Amino acid sequence: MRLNDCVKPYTQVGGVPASIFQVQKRSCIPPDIQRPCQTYLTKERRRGSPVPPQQGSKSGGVGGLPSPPHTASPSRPLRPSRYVPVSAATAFLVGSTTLFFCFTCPWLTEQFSVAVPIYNGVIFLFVLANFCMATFMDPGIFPRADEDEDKEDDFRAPLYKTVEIRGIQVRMKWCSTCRFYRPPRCSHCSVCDNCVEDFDHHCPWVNNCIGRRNYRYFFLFLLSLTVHIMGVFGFGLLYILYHTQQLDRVHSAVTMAVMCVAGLFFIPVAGLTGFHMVLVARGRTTNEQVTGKFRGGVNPFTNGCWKNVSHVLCSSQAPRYLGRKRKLHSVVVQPPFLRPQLTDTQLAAKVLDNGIHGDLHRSKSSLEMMESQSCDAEPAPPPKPELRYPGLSRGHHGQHTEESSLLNKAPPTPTMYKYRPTYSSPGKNHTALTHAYANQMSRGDSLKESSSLLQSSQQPGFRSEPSLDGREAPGERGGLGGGGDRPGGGGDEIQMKLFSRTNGQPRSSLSSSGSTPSSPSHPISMSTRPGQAYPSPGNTQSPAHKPGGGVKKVTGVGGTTYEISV
Amino acid sequence: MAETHSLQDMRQQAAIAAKVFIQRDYTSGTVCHFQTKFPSELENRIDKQQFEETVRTLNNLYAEAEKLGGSSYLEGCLACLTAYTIFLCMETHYEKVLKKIAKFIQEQNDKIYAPRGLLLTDPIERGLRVVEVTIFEDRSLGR
Repeated sequence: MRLNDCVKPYTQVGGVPASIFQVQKRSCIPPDIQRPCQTYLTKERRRGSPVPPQQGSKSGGVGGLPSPPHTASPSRPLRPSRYVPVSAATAFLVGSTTLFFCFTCPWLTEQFSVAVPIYNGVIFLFVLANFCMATFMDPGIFPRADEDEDKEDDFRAPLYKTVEIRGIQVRMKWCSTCRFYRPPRCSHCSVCDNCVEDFDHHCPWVNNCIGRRNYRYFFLFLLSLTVHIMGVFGFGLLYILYHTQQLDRVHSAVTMAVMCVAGLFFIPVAGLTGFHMVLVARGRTTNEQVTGKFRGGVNPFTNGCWKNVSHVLCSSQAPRYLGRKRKLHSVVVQPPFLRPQLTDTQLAAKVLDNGIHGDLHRSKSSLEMMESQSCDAEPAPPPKPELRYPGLSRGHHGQHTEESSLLNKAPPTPTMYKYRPTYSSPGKNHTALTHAYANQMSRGDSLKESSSLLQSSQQPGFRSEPSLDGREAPGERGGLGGGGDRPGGGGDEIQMKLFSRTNGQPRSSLSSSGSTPSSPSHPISMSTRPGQAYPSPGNTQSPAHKPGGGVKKVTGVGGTTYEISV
Repeated sequence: MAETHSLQDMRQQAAIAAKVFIQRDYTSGTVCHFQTKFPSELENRIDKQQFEETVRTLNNLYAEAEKLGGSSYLEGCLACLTAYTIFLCMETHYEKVLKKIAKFIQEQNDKIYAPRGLLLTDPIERGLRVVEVTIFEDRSLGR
């Protein structure tokens, strides 16, 4: 059983389940001891291998294109067993209703009014329309991510990423098939082999997933089917009550048969309708209800009963992601390129920089490193050579941009490899620490390096120092202060203060790192911090706002405490 | 404005140096909202303000698309009454706004990003999960 199965996916901020002790990586075991039974944890990466085309049958919405340019699932072998429930449902629905119209309605029309068949006809049309939409509409399938979107190595990337939604930590799992971290409420359907947005469930009666785009139709189908069954049963009963003396006639027999079918289906259909009415009112999906995600927790996706209902019924039809006309980029991008003007502070930074530290960006990771201490007991592998641009993949892209002319004076020692800067949490919440943490967690990076960084950070205003790892001075990124605004350079001390002020939670991001757990074996920061974080082992720090002074204490592994002035 | 590229044009296009992916910001739920945080890779390529303005405008457009207003409600009612056949001839509100967004991105690329060696990709092509910013190699001398 996977570790993560023990954990409730939605937790309140501040209440980190103690069972998460270790970040589970996409490929959490070294290749030399990889066992087949654990391969489900490995992120599949097949660079260069062609991605097979998606199943075409469900990829189009209304008026969809015949050949979707985006790929989703490989073409699966035809499985006739999949079509049995939907065929049966269609047969019962259409067959019974046709019999009702042919045998029961004529007499009712004569006896009462023409409104009877019209009413039943309208309801039946509504049922059919919603049934067709639920069956044939793309539920909100995400196209597979391109190769270049995922720059992370198998052994570095965590299996889960945590985001905070309205104060509640929500986990996003890495989908190895689709190659992205599943957005909240998204789930991968094993039947369709696709990730579906706002996944509700896979319905065998319509042979389709129910997701964001077609949930409304599914819900209306259930509602209208309930009404239709009640109508058919009711009018059939009326017919029978008037024909008690002629029950041996064909018409009566057929009516009774239709009534039986209607009565039989009424109980499960009405039950399901009631269930979904409750789900809609509470703003939950079937998947969430059945997996017990909100048991004891709070649903971050609800907006109140009325808004939930109106969102399901009244929102504009969500767009499909597959089968869209891909617009050709008609823009030709050619050098020479414009560059932004350096501000005075940036120029000052470059002047003070003695060339050893070079990259202004790298100080961000330096700050991150000193903030977060890995709890990994394993010895750190040697740090990878620093990339000139954090966002660039290792080595493939070879050439440095000309901006790195300063950076081309390579630092004497390799520096920390940066982890996925673009997956950082938004504005107010710092990202640097998260990155650093993830970096550490996934690589078990050297703490020696961190400690040297910490030392350099203790001198605010000191821009560069000949430290071993060539790290730039503290505060450049204001990683302590938060990932918010990040001017390219600037006085570090000033900058750190700026960040503290501009950061919506000036202390919170620092506090979880500053207010340290007593044991050095625990990481300082993490999932309790608001914003994006990775599940941290046993850290019960609340992200809120520790009233700190101007100095933060950071405890490294080994018990050494460092002070960082902010 | 569709252009067909000749082979020569393609060769003239600068090489791709890197790609930055602006992720979604889920702090307010599943509404489509992208992070306005300025990625460090773009620091020496474009003004922070400009970039954040672009993302903010995008976010506003998506908010408009997902708005639960009178128009979307009427659209739903009409669709119901016509047994959804109206979708064959009419464009939904969301699609209309997506067209606006595509136009906006095209315009931003033409005016702001392409001259700086960057290219924004419409997030709808990625399932509204990321905004892809392609950074092109700058081989020009100096700096």
